[in-house]
Amino acid sequence: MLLNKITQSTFTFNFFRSSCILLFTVFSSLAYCIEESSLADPEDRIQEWRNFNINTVNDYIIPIYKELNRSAQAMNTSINNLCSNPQNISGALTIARKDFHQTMDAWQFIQNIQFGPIQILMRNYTLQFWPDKKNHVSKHLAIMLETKDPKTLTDAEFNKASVSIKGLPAIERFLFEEDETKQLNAKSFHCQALMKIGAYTANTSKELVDEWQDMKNQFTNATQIDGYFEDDIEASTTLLKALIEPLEIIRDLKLLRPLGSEFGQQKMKRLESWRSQRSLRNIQINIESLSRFYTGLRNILGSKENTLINEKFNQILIQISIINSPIETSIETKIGFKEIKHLSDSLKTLHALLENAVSNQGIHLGFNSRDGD
Amino acid sequence: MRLGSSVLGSSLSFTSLNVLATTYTEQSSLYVSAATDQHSNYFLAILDLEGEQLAKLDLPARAHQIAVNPKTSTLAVAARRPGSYLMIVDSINGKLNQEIHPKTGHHFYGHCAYSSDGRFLFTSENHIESGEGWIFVRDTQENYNVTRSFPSYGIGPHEIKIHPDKETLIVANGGILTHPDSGRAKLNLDTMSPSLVYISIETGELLEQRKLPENLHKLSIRHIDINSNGITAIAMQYQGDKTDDVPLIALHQRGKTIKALWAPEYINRKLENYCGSVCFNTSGSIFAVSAPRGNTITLWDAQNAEFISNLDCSDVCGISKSMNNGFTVSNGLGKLYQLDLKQPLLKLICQDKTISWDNHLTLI
Repeated sequence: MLLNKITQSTFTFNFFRSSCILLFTVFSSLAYCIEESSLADPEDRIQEWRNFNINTVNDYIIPIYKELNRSAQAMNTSINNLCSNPQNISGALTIARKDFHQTMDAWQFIQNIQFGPIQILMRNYTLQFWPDKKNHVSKHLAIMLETKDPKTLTDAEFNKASVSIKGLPAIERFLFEEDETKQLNAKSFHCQALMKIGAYTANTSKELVDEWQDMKNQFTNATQIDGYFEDDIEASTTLLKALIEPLEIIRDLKLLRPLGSEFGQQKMKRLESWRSQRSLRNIQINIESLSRFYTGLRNILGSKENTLINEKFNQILIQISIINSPIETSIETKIGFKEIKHLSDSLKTLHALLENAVSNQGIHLGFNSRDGD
Repeated sequence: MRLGSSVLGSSLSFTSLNVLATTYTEQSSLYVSAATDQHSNYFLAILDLEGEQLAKLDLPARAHQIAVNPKTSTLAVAARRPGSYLMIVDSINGKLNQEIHPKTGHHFYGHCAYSSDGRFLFTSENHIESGEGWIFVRDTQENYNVTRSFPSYGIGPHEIKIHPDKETLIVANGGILTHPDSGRAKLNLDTMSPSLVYISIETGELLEQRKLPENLHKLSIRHIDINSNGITAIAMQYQGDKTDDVPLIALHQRGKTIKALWAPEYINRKLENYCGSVCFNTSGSIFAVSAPRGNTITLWDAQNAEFISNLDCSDVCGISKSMNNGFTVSNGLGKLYQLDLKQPLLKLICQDKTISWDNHLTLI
């Protein structure tokens, strides 16, 4: 399975390090050499766009939500084992951590989809409340744990709790923060809370799979009355936003924000998953996912654009593979700081390439939504 | 006084589209909006009620809002901030009458309003050096020369409206400091202090200033509309954390505090902390607020200060009154929709795929 392949990938591209800057320079200049083709009307290729929509849903979105569900169920089981097996806490903790990583891998693979079932009931915030600029997870979790009141964990009460403590960042704290793991034992309220959050995450993941079975129909028949979309092109546009806009989010929130305005201003705790030291792995999976998503567009775009975009995706994945890891440590060094800056520049170029390519197909990702006043 | 074509910039041109002037002048009502085409050319469009473009006027840079003179056929087209032009246009034939520039050291903020007698034009402007907001008063009978100016009593004055008492100007001070040297960068997010102010048109004196509670100081008060009962509807844009859940719509009446309104939480989140435009229907009982990032329009009951409903629409932003006491809305995909309030749906009026309608739509 692709996801497993990604998580197992190791950083074996060190020999590329010396040529990386050269590659970067060449690709950057090429990026701006794409000839602007005449502006197309997407309606002229409506069947191709319809196919793109349906294939993206069937071959990309739904399989990944299924993988998220599978791994979240496994994590839930291993959390239950951890909390019911006080004799072998360390072994059970290792398994729970592995399953957390699998679940986070799957979530990172589908984090770019921010429409449809994930938007309902704020599931996007529930699964991963991030960035947590005001430390909500910590504050709300502390309040809950202090009560030690099992009533707060009943469905009725837990549903009313802050979205910030219902998903992966809260689980990450329990499993990776030493102060928290010490308190995980069969009888502890910590364990009861962790089990509740694990079950809630598993349940949310299952609901996403179930609801995407219905959501699929919105793509196979995009013009249905009272449907989610007005037509096939609007459905394509929604998907293309999920392909292109995340590059800005990765750049701004996952890279530049932790880096600060200049060297010396880095803030490691702004990295997405610093507790589990997997912030770079998140970005790697994000890019792998977008690259796989992009394959559905290859037959629609021109070959020149296609070549440049493919090369850029590959170059970025190589760049990521040679960054000193974990970045939770390396961003504090001058080399690490520069590596992240370069990666951020590459993402900007890829973003421009993709935006230009879909614009040449007559697809507008947004006007008022992207540059208002 | 109208200026002849000799004063017009060479980059400007007027195009009458496919419709005879006689037909055009018989139009009882029209829509006007700024627009951008696929090649990033900017223009003013004058449309009939079916959305057919009757005239377009090329503009040198992106425009924002269009003010309508209540007594004549004149329009004032305001450049988007930091704006450098105001185009005075005749809506009867789409012709440019005059191009106005801000005084040295100032720029426009994209909004303006005519006095209720049509004599004066008020513009929201930035005094670049100090960053203070100013209102300039231009006399339509004196070649739009500036006759007076007074402070907006805040930073970043954006939309301005005339109160139904005809004597008071309402200004949304967005609170965000910008400087042309830094483009559109926001320079004071930590200290921003937006306000809604009521200013005496006669004296320029501050009559009332309202701010949101300190914990909401990053809510930029940007767009406003007012009904005949003097109720001001406010559409806001939040500059704080993306994950914060804050009210984005509010109401205000003179002498009272600003009343923040909440949509149900899942809809409030959907607005993505950003509202683009606000408009009352003709009777003033209902107002609509667009959320272009959330791709939705929310409808509100002004009397009971309550959320009514929301309707999804991609890249929606412009909202105007419509002839049937509902609304007409425009989006970045070149579409115009009718929202007649009898059915909970948007009915497509027309689409021009080659253009994007800009932030504000106006019925004249």
